[in-house]
Amino acid sequence: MATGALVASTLMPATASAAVTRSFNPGSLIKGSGPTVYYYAEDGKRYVFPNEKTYFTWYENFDTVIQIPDNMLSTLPLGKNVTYRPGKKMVKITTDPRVYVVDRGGMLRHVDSEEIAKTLYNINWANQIDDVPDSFFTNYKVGNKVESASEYRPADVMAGTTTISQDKGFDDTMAAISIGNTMTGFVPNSMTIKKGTTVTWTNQDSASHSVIGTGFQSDALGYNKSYNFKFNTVGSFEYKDGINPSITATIHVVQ
Amino acid sequence: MKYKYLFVLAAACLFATQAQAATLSPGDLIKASGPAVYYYSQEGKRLVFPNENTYKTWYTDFSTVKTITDAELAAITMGGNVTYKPGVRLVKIVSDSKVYAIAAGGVLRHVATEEIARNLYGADWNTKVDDIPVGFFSNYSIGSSILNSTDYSPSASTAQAVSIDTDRAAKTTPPVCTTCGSEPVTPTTTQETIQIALSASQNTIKINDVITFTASAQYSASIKEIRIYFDNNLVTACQNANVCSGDFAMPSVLDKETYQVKTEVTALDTTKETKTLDLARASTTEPDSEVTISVDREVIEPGQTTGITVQADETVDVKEIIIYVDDVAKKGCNYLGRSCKWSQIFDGPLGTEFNTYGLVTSVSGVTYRTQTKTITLAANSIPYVTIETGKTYILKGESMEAVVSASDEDGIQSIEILDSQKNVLKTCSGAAPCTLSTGPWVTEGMVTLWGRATDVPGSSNEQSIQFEVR
Repeated sequence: MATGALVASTLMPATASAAVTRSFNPGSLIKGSGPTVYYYAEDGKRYVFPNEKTYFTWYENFDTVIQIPDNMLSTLPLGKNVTYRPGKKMVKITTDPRVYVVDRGGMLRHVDSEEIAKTLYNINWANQIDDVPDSFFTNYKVGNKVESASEYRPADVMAGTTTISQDKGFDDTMAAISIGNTMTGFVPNSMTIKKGTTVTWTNQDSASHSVIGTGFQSDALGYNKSYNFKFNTVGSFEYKDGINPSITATIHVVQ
Repeated sequence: MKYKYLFVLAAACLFATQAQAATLSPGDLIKASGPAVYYYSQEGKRLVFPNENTYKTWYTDFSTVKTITDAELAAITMGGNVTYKPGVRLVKIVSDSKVYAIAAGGVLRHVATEEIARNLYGADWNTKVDDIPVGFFSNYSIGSSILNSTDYSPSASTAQAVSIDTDRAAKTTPPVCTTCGSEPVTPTTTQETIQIALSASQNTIKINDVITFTASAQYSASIKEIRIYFDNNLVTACQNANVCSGDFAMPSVLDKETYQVKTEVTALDTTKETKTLDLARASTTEPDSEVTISVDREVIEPGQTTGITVQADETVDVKEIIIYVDDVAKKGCNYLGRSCKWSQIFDGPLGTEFNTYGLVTSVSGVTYRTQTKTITLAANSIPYVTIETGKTYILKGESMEAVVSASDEDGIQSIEILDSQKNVLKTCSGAAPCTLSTGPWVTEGMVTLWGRATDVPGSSNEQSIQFEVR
């Protein structure tokens, strides 16, 4: 077979988790009944781990993966692919000998010499390099070269980006909820956010839905239409779809 | 064999590009000692086929692939992934049931119904659907949905995609690396744009409404400032935040059909981007004749219930009906026929009025609005009246039986049946249904009959029915 590059698009958790929940938060690792694990971010999208190596730069195991119903998973729009955690490893592609370090936001920086590589990742630097499949190279951007070792300290870079949200440029001032069909309802159905977070609801269903809670209320939202509200007080807020009042959900606001 | 990692220097880059320039031309398929095949693009980059399915939409075999040396291949910059050739196949992702057709530049367009899929790709359309691994989904962008078969043509889409290069040109054109000078072939920071989402708490505006505008920005560098304007008036400006939100009161005179909301985002690296959103003035237009609204009882007592029915005629291919009370969507009916019914308790001081109307959306995206009816809270409710005839039409010379029923919390004093000029044809006292055999009808055309009921305190209500004489 002479086409294309390696395809590794699924991740297999070591053990299948038992409980299925409709409650998760930005930053949760989620999966459906299938093996693929996604990162649920503040923009309401699920981000794909293109392969296991990428996953293990961020997490040591699959212990925190939450299983959600399949129809909830498919309601969430797909985001871009997750890239390597900055500082963790160096990368290259098989058909190019250039070695790169990873900076925040999937930025690749060419390491200019073996001396620098040795300073950054010590004598065993060659073991700290992963091959990125050609087809995932497009998930990265290429930035400036690292011309001296002082420009890039792997430990500092790693400490500076501890979550995928940070890497993607999100912070906890926003969160997002998708509205599915009458079977799925609000996704996630229960979410915990910090006081001062702006929540955006987006209707992913072809039929209209609305958001009605105490102190906040949207118009009827057609497909792909959004409504947002900033939660400035602590408490649990139940809300419903005004068009299909049996669909309810909760937002917990904490300090 | 132990792999020796090399660091490419400028000289190697120059040498390699000279070597391949002699043998390669844009549009060539290339490979080195490994199995991977690449497309050599106009920009002098190699594009990756993420999988065999993608390759097969463009080529039937591998006979034209040219082999170059590993060093030559390494000197050619990677330029991204090839997407499916438009029109050839349908695609979906494993975790989602949506089926997409492919438009130019790797744009996915959701095929809205099975019928459209059949019209475009034949009865065996479902054998032409490929699963795209989720890891490659980000190579595509989502376009508008295909709502009818004339909206998209597989053969025309395929014909337009002359080559992978012309197909990619349909996307936003990426910058071309024309110089391979003193620097190795490392393009500097890519020409990334700031991704902005701008939204408003309402889609339409009325005078004195207070609307919340929210803008959020995504960019690799930090965001320095987000400004939001409404009709060129500054709503708010937020520094050093990815999300910015502000309230703005609508003016008391709305003399334009649409108003523009604009956001300007400035990043720390001085990149700027703007995004706009148009808000329409809430329509005060005439109701559409295709849709009607009826209220069981337009005058009720506080705490009583009344039903609201919205109906569309046969000319409307109904997708959804939504019933509004005081501009709040109360009930939506999807794909469930031509009518939608909603009942609720209305409470408040005497004299309170509630406005209700229905919006009907057709499959082709047209929105129809009913007239607005008012429900009033009064000390004495009007009776609930229905009039029924067994048939919708009769033949010339036949008679038609009409039955009027009524109910009211205070008891019914009398029920009357009236002709189209409101001449009383029959009066029944008490609450029992009133029945009248009318006719024989000898003139063809539409006939209207009215039913009227009066409760014990003296409030009355009327309903009419139409039937046809053929």
